[in-house]
Amino acid sequence: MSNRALAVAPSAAQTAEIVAELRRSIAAQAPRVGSRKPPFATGLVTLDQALHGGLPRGKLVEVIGPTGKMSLTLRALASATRQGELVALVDAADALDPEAAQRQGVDLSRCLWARVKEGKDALKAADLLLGSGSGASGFGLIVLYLSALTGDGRDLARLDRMWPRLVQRCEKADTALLVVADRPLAGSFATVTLSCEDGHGIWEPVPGSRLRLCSQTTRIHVQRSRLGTPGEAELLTLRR
Amino acid sequence: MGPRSRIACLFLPALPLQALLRSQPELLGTAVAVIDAEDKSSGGRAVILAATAAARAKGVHVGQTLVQAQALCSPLTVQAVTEAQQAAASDALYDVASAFSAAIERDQAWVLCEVGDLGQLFDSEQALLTALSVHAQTVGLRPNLAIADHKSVALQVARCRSGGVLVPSGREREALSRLPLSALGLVPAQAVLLDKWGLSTVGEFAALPRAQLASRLGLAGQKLHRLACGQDDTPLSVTAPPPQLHEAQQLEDEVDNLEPLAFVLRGLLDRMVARLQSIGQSCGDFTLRLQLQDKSWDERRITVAAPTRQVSTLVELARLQLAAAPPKLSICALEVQTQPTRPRSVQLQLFAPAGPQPERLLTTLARLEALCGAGRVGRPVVPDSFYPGQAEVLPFEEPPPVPYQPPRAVTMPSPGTLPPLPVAAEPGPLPNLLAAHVLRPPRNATVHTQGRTISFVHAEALAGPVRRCAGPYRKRGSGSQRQLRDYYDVELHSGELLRVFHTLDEDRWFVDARYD
Repeated sequence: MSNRALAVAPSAAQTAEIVAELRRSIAAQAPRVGSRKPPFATGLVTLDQALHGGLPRGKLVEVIGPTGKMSLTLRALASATRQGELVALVDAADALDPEAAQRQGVDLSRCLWARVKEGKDALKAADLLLGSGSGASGFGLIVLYLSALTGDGRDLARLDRMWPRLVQRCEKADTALLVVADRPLAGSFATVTLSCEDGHGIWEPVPGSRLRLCSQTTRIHVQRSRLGTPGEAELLTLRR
Repeated sequence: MGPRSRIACLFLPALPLQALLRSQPELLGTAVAVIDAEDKSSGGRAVILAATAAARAKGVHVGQTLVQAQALCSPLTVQAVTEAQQAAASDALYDVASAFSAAIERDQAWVLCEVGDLGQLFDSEQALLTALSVHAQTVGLRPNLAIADHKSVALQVARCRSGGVLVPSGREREALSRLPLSALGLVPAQAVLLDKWGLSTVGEFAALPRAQLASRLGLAGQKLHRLACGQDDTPLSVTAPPPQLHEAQQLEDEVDNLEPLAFVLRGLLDRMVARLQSIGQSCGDFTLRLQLQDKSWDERRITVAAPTRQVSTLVELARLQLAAAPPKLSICALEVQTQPTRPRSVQLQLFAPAGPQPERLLTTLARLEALCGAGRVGRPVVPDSFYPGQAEVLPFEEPPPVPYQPPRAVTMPSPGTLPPLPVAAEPGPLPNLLAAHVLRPPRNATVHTQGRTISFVHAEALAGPVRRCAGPYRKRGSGSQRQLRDYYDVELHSGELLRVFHTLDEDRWFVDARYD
């Protein structure tokens, strides 16, 4: 062994210190055994606080109301794909704008888009995606977009027997299930119900005495929650 | 000096019978006679192609008519075998050899392969014989095996001796001596002549003087004599592997129901996957051909997103496609063809979320497509168009896992001793962007205008006077959609925000999105 090599080699005490520091660092970074994965933060402070960090895994969250639902849906998808999860959008209204999703930050390569023809097929599709009861489905977040349905879609509430089944499966698969509709469908099977309301457009004048749609505001309100006290609300301004 | 040349021969005695027993192994041990599927319609005059040992013990032999065989042996199970089934059995034999060697010569009922360089993998040639036999059984075949220095010796021994035989170097003549003359592959005239000479074994023929044989039988006689003496230095004539795997099944009765068809298909795919496994490959897209009652063929391509060896997944994919578009007539035969594909290999990460199992994802996607319709399930992509709200769908493939990034940098006590861990890039906050609920197809609308603004909109479930309006924003599509459109944002008195467009070519109005 050369003298130079001896000069740079750390002492036994230094080596022990390095090893101890490495152990502390790795322990801090590595997920602990049995720990749950983090929820999908929506990026809306009040809402995330009310949801204990974001959309919870293994639970059904329902979003209802007249405005802001698609924007909130895309936020949830973007948050999940940022965490490296695969997501699925079961779209009974065929309403997704991929360009808007991309601008919102959704990684489209991690997104499965299933355009079902009827509302009841959406529940079947979610059931398929959540797997056949044999453990993890592989999808971190599944969104059931049931807004603005016509025809048979209005009879979705009659499919009551499907909701407990879906809740059970999403718990088993540790998958967050987000149901987006105009009115409550899952009822008490939803862990949290968020209501998007009081939406209105904000217009600004442009040269030539004309107007431009600048943004839309919507108030997201925790209507009911089994995670904490309901009633929290956040005003969201959505820019064009 | 390289390893000495040793040739292994795998010979399928009674090929039609072997082809049948691959698909119906439960018949092994029972009295079975095999006829050609083409002869099936000729009834009792059909000729027996092969028979099991149990049938042969009762007097059934090759060349008898079916009536004769049934008179001798009762009960006798009679099964028809197609050329395609025999070809599949022959290809399966090639697959077995190709798992051991790259240099293979083949004929319909046998393969010869170079195994001289396998000494490092197997303790002895006996172990190699055992491995060959076990491998052949995994694809449902029971060939005769022989290993010798020369290919003709290996072939002659395998043709006449069941089980596995090792012919030591230099003892070829001794190994051949007790074999019947038929082992030499004589033409009928030669067989008759040698029979007249009173010869019955290869050893007796080899004992004749070669020079005198040449004067009586010519060059052919000399060649036969060299073969009988185990003197053959002809190299292997290497044969190319079959271009694709092919399995076939003839049905006894026509099938017009999905469940029994899926049952038969499972057996077919079982055999195909066993062959693929024997050569270390997986099943990708495959072709399913169904012969219908009127002898026409219904051909379907079954797409497999990730190569797999799970038969249940393949059956499920085929079943879903058959359920979506059932065959028009009942089915009397089916075939499966595929190209061997390299197995999928993915390096999973310790800290990245695990995706779905590829086979399970595949089945789920197929079921979803059956539920939603073709082209309605997949990965959304932004098409090349200036119109807003356009969408396309591409087949969904599981993307590679996101590389793990540690949440913070680590301060090392002795900088320079170890490199610092990389710092994770903190993702920025999600933007607050207004998204539209696209209406597909766009809803026809009746619009009242005042100058360049819109005063009233009426469309299905969306109607009312307009409070505010912005636009027009003129856009032209691309490709086949090259018409000019004027887009407007409107707010109804009810508070709803809509996107409306006007086609300048056709002078029509549509509502294509609701800001949501």
